Amino acid sequence: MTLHIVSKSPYSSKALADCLGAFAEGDALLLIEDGIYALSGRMPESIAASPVYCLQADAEARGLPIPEKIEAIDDARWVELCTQHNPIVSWFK
Amino acid sequence: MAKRTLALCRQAPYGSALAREGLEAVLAAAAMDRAPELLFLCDGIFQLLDNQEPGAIDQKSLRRNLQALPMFGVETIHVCERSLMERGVDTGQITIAGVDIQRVDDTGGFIAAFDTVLSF
Repeated sequence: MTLHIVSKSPYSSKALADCLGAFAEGDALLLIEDGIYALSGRMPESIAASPVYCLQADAEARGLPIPEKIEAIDDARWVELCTQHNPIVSWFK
Repeated sequence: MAKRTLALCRQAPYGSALAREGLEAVLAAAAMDRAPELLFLCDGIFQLLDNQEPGAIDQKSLRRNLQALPMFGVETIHVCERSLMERGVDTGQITIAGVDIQRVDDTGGFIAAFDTVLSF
């Protein structure tokens, strides 16, 4: 199962949309840096059943509340997720 | 078993350096006998269009790098079917001599079969 990491705002970049176009069942999504701004709108329904994580420090830095269904994680948990998923795909642009 | 590596090419060719750098990385790895598989998706499929003539914008054509692929042992590339359809590109516009172009329907499933994914 793939861990997709998105680091750009969905309002200025297609990174999240492109990622979701290549999202398979069982995959997980991690929002970091400006990717966090995806939390401010409605999450796409196509990933309603998939695990979605966000980096807590990045969300707090940007003042965004973290919706209930999304797990806020720290760096140690991020590393753990990286060990639990294969491959890992970065969507950074 | 050797790790399976995939290079994702998602960027259009001349607006940024990423498309060229991605292909150069692939060719460098291929020269070391470690060629990754290639998947062109999103705007990356614009890298494949025939008739690119970027001379007037002072850039070198990326087609040369693509045409070098078979010389480096890369004889198959993969292209995201949906990305082609969204952009109105058909496979007739993206032929590369000596390279078999495979269309990928289930992009997510395709990616999931690899150990390592490089994003360009």
